[in-house]
Amino acid sequence: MADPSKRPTLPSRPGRRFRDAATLLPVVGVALLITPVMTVFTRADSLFGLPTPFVYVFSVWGGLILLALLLGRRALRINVSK
Amino acid sequence: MHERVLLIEDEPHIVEALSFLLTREGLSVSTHADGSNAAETAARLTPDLVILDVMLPGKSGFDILNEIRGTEGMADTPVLMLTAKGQSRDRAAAQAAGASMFMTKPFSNREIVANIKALLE
Amino acid sequence: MISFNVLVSICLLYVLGLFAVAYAAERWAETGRFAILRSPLIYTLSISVYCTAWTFYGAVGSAARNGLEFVAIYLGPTLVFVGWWWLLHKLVRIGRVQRITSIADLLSSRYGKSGGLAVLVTVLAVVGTTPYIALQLQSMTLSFAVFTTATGAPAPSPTVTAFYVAAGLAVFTIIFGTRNLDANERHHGVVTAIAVEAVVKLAALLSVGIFVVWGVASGPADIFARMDPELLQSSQVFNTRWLTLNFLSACAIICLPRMFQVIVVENANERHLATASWAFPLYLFLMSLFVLPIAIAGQSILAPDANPDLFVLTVPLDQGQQTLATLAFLGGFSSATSMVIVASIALSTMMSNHIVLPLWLRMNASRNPASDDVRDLLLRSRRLSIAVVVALGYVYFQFNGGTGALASIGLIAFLGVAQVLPALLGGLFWHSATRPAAIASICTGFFIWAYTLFIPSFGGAALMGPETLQSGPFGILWLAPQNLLGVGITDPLVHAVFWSLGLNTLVFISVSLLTTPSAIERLQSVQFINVFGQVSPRRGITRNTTIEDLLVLAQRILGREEAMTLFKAQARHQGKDSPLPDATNELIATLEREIAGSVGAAAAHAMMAQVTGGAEISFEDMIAVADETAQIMEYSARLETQSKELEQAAVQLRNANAKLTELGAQKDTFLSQVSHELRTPMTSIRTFSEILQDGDTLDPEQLNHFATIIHSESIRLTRLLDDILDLSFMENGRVQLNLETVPLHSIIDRALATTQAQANELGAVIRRNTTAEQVTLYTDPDRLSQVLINLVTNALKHCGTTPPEVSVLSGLHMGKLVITVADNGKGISEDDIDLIFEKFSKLSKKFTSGSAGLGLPISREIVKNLGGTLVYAGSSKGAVFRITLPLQAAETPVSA
Repeated sequence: MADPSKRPTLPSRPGRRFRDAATLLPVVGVALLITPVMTVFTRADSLFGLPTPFVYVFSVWGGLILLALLLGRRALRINVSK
Repeated sequence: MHERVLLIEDEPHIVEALSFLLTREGLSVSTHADGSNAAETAARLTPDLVILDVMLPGKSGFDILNEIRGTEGMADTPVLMLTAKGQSRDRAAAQAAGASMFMTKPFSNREIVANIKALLE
Repeated sequence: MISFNVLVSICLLYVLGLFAVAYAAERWAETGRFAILRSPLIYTLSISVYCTAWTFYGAVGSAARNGLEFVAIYLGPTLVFVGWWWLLHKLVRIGRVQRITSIADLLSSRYGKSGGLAVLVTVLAVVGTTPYIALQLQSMTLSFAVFTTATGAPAPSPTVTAFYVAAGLAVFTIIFGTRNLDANERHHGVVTAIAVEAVVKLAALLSVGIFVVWGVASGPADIFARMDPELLQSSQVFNTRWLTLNFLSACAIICLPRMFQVIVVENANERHLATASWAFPLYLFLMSLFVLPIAIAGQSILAPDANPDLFVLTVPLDQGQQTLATLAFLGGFSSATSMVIVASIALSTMMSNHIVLPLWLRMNASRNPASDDVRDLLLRSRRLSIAVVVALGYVYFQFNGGTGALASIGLIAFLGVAQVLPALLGGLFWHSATRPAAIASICTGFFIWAYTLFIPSFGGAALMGPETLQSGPFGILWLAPQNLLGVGITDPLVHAVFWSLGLNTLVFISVSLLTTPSAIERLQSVQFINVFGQVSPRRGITRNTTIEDLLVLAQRILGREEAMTLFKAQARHQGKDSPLPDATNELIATLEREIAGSVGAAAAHAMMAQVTGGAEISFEDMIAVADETAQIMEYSARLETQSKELEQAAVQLRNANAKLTELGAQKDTFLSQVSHELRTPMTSIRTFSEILQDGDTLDPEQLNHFATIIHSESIRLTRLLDDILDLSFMENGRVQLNLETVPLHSIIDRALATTQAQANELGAVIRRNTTAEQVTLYTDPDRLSQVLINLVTNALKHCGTTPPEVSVLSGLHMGKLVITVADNGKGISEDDIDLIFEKFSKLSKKFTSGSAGLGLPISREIVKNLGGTLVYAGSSKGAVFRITLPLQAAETPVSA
């Protein structure tokens, strides 16, 4: 498990930024996907020939995945699981 | 008058040798070869000096010495003790029992004669 | 067209392939190649067991009926994974640190190792999972049926198909799910096979989707152009049902037993979670991407009455895409099998750990459970549980298969298992959560779930009649199952979620506030809630261990007074004024030692580790502790034996020492005696030599006499030394015997010839019995005659009667040769009998000339070496010595 000697005594700045971002990401996801917020963005009936709700949901979904990917990599790099 | 020496010793050859030596020095030698009743012999003879072997059949030389010292008139008689064991504890025991002198076998003739003379003076 | 038989063959081949994968994975695991098996990729793919046949087929069906609604089932988990930092991380960490084996284990562990809670959660899980397994069986039989209908080939009835599928799954699961009893409950083979199935699922759905979009239609825009505009109205996407479904699916990804199994229990490395946080949502994303296009395609090209739940199969079949259809079929097959396998493993773990084992332990309370016993029992009960779980699913399918009730069971099951959520979240984040609250809340939620959703799902066919459903039990309208208190929520699912989880949470909070957690719950709550505070499970990292926790533990083990005394002493030691010391490592070490005095070191360590941030005591640990205790007891028994042995050895040593001391003393005496015996002749020799040196006054006769004395004393000295050496060799058994067969009379002849001169001199009479001497014996004649000479000489010398009469008689007695040498003297006095065989015995002075008292000891040693005995058999008539010898001297000399 964690080697205490490698444990930083104070959370480093990147660590804290990561923490904030990781905490915030699902909140953003919830806000965009399962609140009435989504109706605001899906008023138009179609977008590029595709139904707007479909485009909206999958775009937000894809965006969340992308951000999670970036954060996940970061998590591995700064070793936050310790 | 010749001084009289009583030799209490069980080894016949040693008796013979000491008798020869002391007679030659002009002493009168009586011998006793047994442990038992050696003290009686001594009391009877009242010698001027007793030569006493430690290891005697029948009775230990120390016991005899005690008896001699207890005999009237012999408390101050010089007693020369001889032992073949030559251990220091025998020497101590002999001194405790009141021996005047203690010699270890084998001994030098000259030495024993000189000692006896010294004891007799 | 693919015939039914070909399809079955493909399935069998596919299953065989899975077997091979699982087997290879197990082998890899055994050879330590975990890296391959334990990549974040495999972890992520195994989580995809979330996508069952219900979602594989049903998502398209749902999309065809309700548009985007199906996405909610995937969005909930996506949000949970994207927000892994909030909950999953903690869950996985707790699972690893506390060695959690199932969700039931997690809850029971958190709430003070409550057995009742574990049973409750297990029952809930079984009730929630059984219909779900039935659903998988149904989807498989349906998909088989699709092919059968399509080909027109004769096929077995759905019942038979389901039976074979169920049996096959049970066998596969038993083989790879219970091969061994891993302490961490990890199943390398199964997880790897599930990962392979995940790839098949995804590939199948993507292939069908790509075919639909670019094969059937000419692109995304084209396919959506065919969509019924009613299906996807933006204003309809968000509603309470959307919210509810997202919430339910988010709960399910945490609470479903099989999801807990793959996410928490099978997790090999927390870092994998960081990868899964985006990779699993990506998997779900890809799984859903083509769902809507496939649904649209099915609706546009197939007959209006076609079952949308089977579009994934029927669209390729309709387009003549046999291979694609088969691949889709395998995708569905994979979804179903992986779900059944993982779910039955998870349930079997719970059933055996929380129901079978405690029952067994209770029934065998008097017996001391050896760990092997328990191990066998666990394995057997796991296997049986798997069979039971699959069988339950099959039976459920038999009763409800084909009815519409089964189709909706997915979400119903989600809500069922979600009833543990308040207790779970409370346990992870709220110190005041209590066990009664957990039990009450789960019971409440479970009851309301069954009342408002599960039982009504049978449509009035079971337990509740249609009129009860409509107007409540006994016509009490406000108790109507799907409209409690007349709240007017029209969607039964939303209604059930609202009431069951709402009341569940309410009860949980209220009861928690009304009750106080027990000591062990408080300890466990610290463990769970502050799981990240404990940087390492090792002891020593104690910063967030409060001194109060330690005091609670110490009081429980040591007693109130002793614990307080100890703590006060420690506080004084630390120089503090307050009665409570700081929780330093030193204090913890001291405390552990104190507790070890009461409960043993292993248990003490486990307890301290528990309080100070180590691993929770799992059942395995307890068994290990029990084993260790048994070992300690055995060890102490062994120590006791050893100390007894040591004591005996000490006694022996003391005896040996005493003997040695005695021997040493004997040696001293012996040396002293030797010294004396040597000095005596030497005195004569020296004195006479000095007299001879003086010379002149001696006459020749004297000279000669003295010389003779010197000579004889020298000889005496030499003989003495010879005797001592001889005796020494004899006693050490190192004497060289020259054994030969000789007549006895020749030996006696020789002995008497030697003593003849002495006998003549004394005028002695020597008697013998020559006829009895006509015996041959095997012996050393020289040595034996030496003994006889010694005995005869002694007899002649010491009998003291004139003339001496010595008889040397021999005879056989009991097969042994007996020679007696007797004289006519006084014999030896009783006091002296003991001494005559002693070296240099005091009697020796009586034996005036001669061998210094070594003759008899030497003789006795010789006879002993010849295998016989020499004893003094004195009689009133005179001294009698008796030699007893075997006719055959002992082969090996008897050592002294």
